[in-house]
Amino acid sequence: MTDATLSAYEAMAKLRFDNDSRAWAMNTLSRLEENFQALSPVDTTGAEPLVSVLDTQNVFREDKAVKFIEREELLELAFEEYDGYFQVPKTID
Amino acid sequence: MKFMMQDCIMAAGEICTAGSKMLRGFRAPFSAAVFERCESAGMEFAGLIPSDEFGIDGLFDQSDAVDASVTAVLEDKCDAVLCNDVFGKLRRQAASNGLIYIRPVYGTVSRFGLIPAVSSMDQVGVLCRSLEDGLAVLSAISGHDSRDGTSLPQEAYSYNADNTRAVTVGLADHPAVTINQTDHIKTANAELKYFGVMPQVLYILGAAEISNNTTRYDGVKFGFRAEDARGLEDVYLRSRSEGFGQDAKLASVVGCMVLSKEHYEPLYHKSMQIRRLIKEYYDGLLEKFDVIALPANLGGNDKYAQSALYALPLLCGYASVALPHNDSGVQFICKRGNENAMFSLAREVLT
Repeated sequence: MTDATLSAYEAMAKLRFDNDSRAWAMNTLSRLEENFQALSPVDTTGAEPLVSVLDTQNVFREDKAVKFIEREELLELAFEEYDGYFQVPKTID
Repeated sequence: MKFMMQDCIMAAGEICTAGSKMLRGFRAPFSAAVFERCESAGMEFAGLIPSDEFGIDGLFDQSDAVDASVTAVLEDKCDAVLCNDVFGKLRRQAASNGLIYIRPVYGTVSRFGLIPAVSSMDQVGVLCRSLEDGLAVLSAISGHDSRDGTSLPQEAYSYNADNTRAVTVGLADHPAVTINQTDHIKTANAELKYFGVMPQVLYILGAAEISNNTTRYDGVKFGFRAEDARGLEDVYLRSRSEGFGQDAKLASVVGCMVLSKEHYEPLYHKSMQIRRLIKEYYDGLLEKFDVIALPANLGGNDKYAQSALYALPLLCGYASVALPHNDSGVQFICKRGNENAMFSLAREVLT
């Protein structure tokens, strides 16, 4: 695990470790990456990936509109809203 | 009966942060299904309890401070706490502090209103002092909820520890797991395959899902936004960098690693395949035994190694109950339909 590799994963996750925790993150990630190699010898030939532990497949409801929550209630949770929309800082100069 | 909830479970109008600065000041716009059901059953809500950040705080280090939910029950602030025990901390701490943790079968309790961490494994459980209290709460919160797409169709469940039929118990080969045979309790050693790779599978799949679930915290729609961020990318990056704690960040990064092009096949895809093999093997083993018994603690603070103990119910959706027994505590695990046999065994061990 190199600093550049960690930076690449940070970019994917859209976050950064601060300088104090960067070495810890790199060491832990290295240790996990090495330990994850224990999966290699497990023979998984023919095994379908298990996505859900439930046997149920698609769960459908009746095609009926149900009002769950008001738009205003959700916008109240926003850091910033304007005219019924979420607002973000200016993105294009 | 008085109940509390970890603050990853929503009660309308209450501040609910899932232990994260990212949700500082977030006021729940609706109540979780489990909250509504407890209130409907006449239970008294005694408040929210701070939780670890998305249930994963301390996952990557050696610390093991007693959880606030455990303390709340020990200090008699309530009879039961509704929790989401993602990686086993509460099962371990309950058993070693004289308490009980019941984790229901996946799909029997609605996750509606639970702030998600690992969606394929998240399940609201009950931390309690007495088995009877725990079963009363579990019976109240279980049952179909159309608002949770993983909710099983059965409308209601009734749990008790009054089972009188013979129970067969598969024992882990560990000195702490001793169950006395009686007229109706039969034990035999069980071969617990795949235990050596359960921590890997749990961490890989868990981190991938945490990484996915925490993408919603972007500093735009709700929760924390870093001050003076310039532009959208800066809002994302700085809000998430300042808003998440170290473990949540690392879980996100591990998730990105195992889902990346280089690692997807050998780590993520392979873990899902092994999860299938684990489920097939243990479904078969739980045809032979009604209940599997494992220690609730291996000793030491290596959470990664310990996670092997807690992975089975998570990976297969089984029910489990952790309780005090011998030095390490014990966990019982069963498939759907055998819960009351498992609870009867638990009562037997507790008495």
